[in-house]
Amino acid sequence: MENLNPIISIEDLPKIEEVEYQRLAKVYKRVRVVETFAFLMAILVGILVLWYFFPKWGIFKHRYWIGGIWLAYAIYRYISIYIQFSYTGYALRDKDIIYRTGFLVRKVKSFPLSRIQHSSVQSNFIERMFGLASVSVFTAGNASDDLVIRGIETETAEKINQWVTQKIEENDQ
Amino acid sequence: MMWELLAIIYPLITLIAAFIKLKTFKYYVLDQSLIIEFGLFKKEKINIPFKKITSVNIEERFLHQPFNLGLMKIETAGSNKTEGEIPSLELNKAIALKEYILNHSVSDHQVVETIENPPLLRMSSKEVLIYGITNNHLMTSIWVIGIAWVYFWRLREVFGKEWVNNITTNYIFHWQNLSFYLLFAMVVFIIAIFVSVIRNFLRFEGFTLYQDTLSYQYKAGLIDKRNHIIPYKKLQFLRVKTNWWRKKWNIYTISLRQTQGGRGEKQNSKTEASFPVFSKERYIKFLNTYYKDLSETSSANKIHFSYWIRLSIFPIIITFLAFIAFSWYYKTTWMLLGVIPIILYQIIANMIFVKKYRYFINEDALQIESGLWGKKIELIQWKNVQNVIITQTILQRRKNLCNIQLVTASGLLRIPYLKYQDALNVQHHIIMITAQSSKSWN
Repeated sequence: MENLNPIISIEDLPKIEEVEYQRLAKVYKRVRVVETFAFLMAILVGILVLWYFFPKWGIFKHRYWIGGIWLAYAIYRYISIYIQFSYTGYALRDKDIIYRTGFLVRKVKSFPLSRIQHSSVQSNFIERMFGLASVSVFTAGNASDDLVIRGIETETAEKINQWVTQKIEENDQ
Repeated sequence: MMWELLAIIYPLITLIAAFIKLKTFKYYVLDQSLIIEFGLFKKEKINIPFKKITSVNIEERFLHQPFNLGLMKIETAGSNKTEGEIPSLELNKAIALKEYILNHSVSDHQVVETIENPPLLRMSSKEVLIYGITNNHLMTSIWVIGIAWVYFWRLREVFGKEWVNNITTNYIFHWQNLSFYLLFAMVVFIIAIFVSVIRNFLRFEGFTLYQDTLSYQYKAGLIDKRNHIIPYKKLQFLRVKTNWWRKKWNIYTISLRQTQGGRGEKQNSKTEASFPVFSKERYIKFLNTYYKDLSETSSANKIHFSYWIRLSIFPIIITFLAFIAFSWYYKTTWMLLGVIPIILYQIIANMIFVKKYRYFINEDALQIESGLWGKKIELIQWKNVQNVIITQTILQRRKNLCNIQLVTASGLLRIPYLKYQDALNVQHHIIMITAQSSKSWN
């Protein structure tokens, strides 16, 4: 029903290990620290509120355990920020965008440019304070599998967005 | 008084609205597009350019059949919902219009052949019956029990409280009454079989599938005869599935996975068309019409054996916890012995599953075959992949293994525990293939 595509010898292609990844902006670590702090505090406040209103709830007999688990989780989150930051990176290539991230589970995502439908730049309140933005890239696949590159300087993010848009237009012609 | 008035007014308004729609409804072809107009006070005009049309479906619903009418649905690439609908028109007119539209909707030189060529697949009534009987009755049984439960409590209003209490204490909550449970289970099972047989007749009676240069088309249905069209462009990948029971009968279910449409739109049943075939040869023949059965031409790749550990960990933990909770509740220890055969079964089953798992690759397509008791085959062409995700846990890193996920416009395909270098090669191949072929999610 379709013509066969010509065979490509895989040896000729650049290997993914040889990709030079662009690093995220260094201030992004601080953004993550602030965000994680807010998140952990929200959990803590939630627990305290529950404790205040239901002091006789059986689970609060183990409040030292709850506190310990919260603390361990907080430490895990903060370690993961630093390790994840040192590993995360992206690369814009001729035929795709490649992005790697992860702490315990590492992920390499590859988005062929010919499959990208559109891209966008957005930033939340904390990111704006540090002059950062994130780039989202959308394909026809599931929304949860789309690519979001966080922690890029606003100018670079805009440039990437324009580059992707231009590439999409080239592909459409 | 209020309600009675409403009961008269509401049907009257519906009738008048239907009459207005009938009198104002117009459809015509103008300038390479189909135009549908209706409405008296609020006029609606739908303009569908032929080039955008991906499929035209004619449905013969129950009320259409005696009048020899049809309902025409027109779908476009842009959205998942039906773009235009002509509620009823004469069947021969509908077929002529459909042919006209489809011939003009193709921008390339290809011409759609009408469905006169011999059908690719066909189902006899006997086969429909067998497919209904071999259905998985667990889900239907749960439904039947749920409905029975609701109606049982309704009976309280009819027969009175005491009658219901009598039944519940003497039969339902009476653990010794085994024969009652057996009888109940049997009745539920028979009803479940009956329900799925009926459902299958409604769905598949008179099933015939054709293939032309642009699409698969099939007609089926007992009361509502539907004509489904699945253009190759919309087809993302193909799945063949069977369970142990059906494998014995040589029955395989083929699902054609189509694009899910735009972002944020609800996934509906239209995205998956599935139907049974009744021999191994027939599903292989069908795979060959889509691309080809790779298991015959390419060599098999296996995944790493250590995947059985990953598969077994969570079931083992859950079984352990369940048994511990059980024996703690009933204050027994011998029950914990029951853990051993279950866990052994899980481990052996997972080992065999991993041993039997294989995938086939060539320059155009990927075919994944898996299954312990049953079988699952997935066939995808590389050009339908939207993006590739390679994941690697700490343990996998040590053995240089990884998982790969292929994201399509109609769900995910996964290969677990393959060699990292193989995954990278697959990723590269997809990048190169997609760069050459045009967008294909429409």
